Amino acid sequence: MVTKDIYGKPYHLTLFVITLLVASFTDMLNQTVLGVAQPTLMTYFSVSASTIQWLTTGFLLVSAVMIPVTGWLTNRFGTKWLFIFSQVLFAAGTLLSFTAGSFSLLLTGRLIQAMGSGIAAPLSMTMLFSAFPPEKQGQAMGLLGIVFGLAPAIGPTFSGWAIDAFSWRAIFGIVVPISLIALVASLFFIKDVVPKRAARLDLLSLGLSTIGFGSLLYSFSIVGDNGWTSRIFLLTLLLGLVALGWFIHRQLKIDTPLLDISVFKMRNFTLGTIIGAVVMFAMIGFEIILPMYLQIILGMSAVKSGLSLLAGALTMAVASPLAGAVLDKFGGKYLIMFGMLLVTLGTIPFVFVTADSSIVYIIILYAVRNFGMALSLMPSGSVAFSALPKQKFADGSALNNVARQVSASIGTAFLVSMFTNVKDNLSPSKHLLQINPIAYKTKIFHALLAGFHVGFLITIIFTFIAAMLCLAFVNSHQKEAQ
Amino acid sequence: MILIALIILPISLFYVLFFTKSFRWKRVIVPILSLCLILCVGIISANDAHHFGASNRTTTTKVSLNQQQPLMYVKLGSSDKSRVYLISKGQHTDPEHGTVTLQHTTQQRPTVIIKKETMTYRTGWQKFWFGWSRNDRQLRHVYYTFKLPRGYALKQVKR
Repeated sequence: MVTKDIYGKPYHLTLFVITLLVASFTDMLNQTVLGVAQPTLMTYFSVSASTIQWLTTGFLLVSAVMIPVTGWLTNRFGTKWLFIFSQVLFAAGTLLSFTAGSFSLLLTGRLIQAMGSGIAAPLSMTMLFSAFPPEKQGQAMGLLGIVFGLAPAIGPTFSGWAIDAFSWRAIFGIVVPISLIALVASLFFIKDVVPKRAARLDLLSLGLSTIGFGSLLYSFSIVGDNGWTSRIFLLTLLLGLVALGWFIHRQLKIDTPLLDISVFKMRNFTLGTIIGAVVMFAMIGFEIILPMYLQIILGMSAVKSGLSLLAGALTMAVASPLAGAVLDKFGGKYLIMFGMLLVTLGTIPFVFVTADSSIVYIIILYAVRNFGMALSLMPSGSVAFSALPKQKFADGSALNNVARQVSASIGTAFLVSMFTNVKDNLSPSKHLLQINPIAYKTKIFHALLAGFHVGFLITIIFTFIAAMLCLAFVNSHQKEAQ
Repeated sequence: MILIALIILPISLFYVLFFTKSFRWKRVIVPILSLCLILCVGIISANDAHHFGASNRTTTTKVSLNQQQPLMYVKLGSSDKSRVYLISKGQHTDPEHGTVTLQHTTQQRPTVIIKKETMTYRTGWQKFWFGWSRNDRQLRHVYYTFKLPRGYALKQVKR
């Protein structure tokens, strides 16, 4: 399929999309790839658990800090060279991680990877949405949904397999050639699809956004270890909120804002972004808690628990393009609502899981739940975007992505801390382990199960709220801004 | 079958909602499919958590213990509330799901009666609905009744 870029030059849309999807897949895969590898890396580099955690926390922080700037970068430099730049950063970071001889080098590699990934995530969304005509934009989002569904789910399984079969270096080593192929392909097949706009970079806005989003995400990443009332959490949260408040105020005042937050005046954009954020909250939080249940209660290994959830990831990958096609035909209102209700219904049985629950039920229910996710996750983004004029796609994409990122962090922190609180309140004293280990085991399992049940229940409440929010959508294919 | 229903129902509902043109047809089918899906999820929850659809099956076996040896056990924890008894080589009582009763009898040979309660899908109807759930013959409880001759010794073994 041949289409034209902003200069009127023809390019091959299929190759453009494939390059974009492959690059996005490797970028996203790396977000969840190190969770399973942490114990191995701790032993290899002789570092503590809190130090090794920085490989994940640092990645999340840097990529989140990069997202808001991407809107400005896209408008200033165009999509082609910015995308290539993001892939150069990602490939360089991956290569450095692969060859790292010390922990500091590995961390540096991860942070460079995160810079590339942070730029590529919102940029891919902007590019796909811009490259397709309005009546096919749902399909574009559906294609990206394959990546969004598969990559984070495959990450832990891939990582576990790579470590078992080779070593931790293989996690990065296998990605290096794919990343280089994506880089070379992007030189040929990626084009400028968003009109450039020369705007001055407001350094104060850049600083405020970095401090604001960075502090906010950092506060939620440490709440699990420090608690909701700890001084460090409250201070970083306050710093983040103040910086963000100032950032928003400044964006509304200056002529050339770093991020055009006036896009929130569009009702469908605001609703789509809120629903997308709630979906991410429910999805990422659930995907942290469920493997914990499989491993702790059902006694599965990390790889086996990852494999058990693969069917769900595949369901999401298959259903995403289908959701895109339906979205183009009928709009998002009822599709997203149906998806969210399906997620809600599919999560209900998880509130009743026991220590003897059937893994077959869990696999199928998780797949049903992910089918619902596929019908809501990317379509919510698509509905949000379709409310915007083309020149505001880059700002909209950055805001949409940052909302999802923040929501995923809050969701993870909130669900894990609720789980921990319930578990700790119901756990028997350690003394019982000496007196009667069988009674201790029964009680600790009861406490853990209660914690999981509460975690699952919270996701049900949130997905149901998201379903009800869909009622406020304006279900029209007409752009509100036009 | 309940698993197949769980796969088919959401897909059918999705198809009818978005690909069926007749509004009248939709108005009839959508509530029916929705109700079936809710019912299906409810039944799965009940089956998984409370063995809905399964029957209780009790199997009783009698094992003779070695007369020449005392009944050996391992104490779990300092309270002595849980013990694991050695029945034969490689077979012992299940401390987690089991209840042990020691009875002294006049019989000469020491024996243990093992009453195992499992949840099984006995009828064809039950197997049809829940056969693939892999929770058939799930253990509920085991009752061990040791019938020991008077004077038969018990010996604690250190772990």
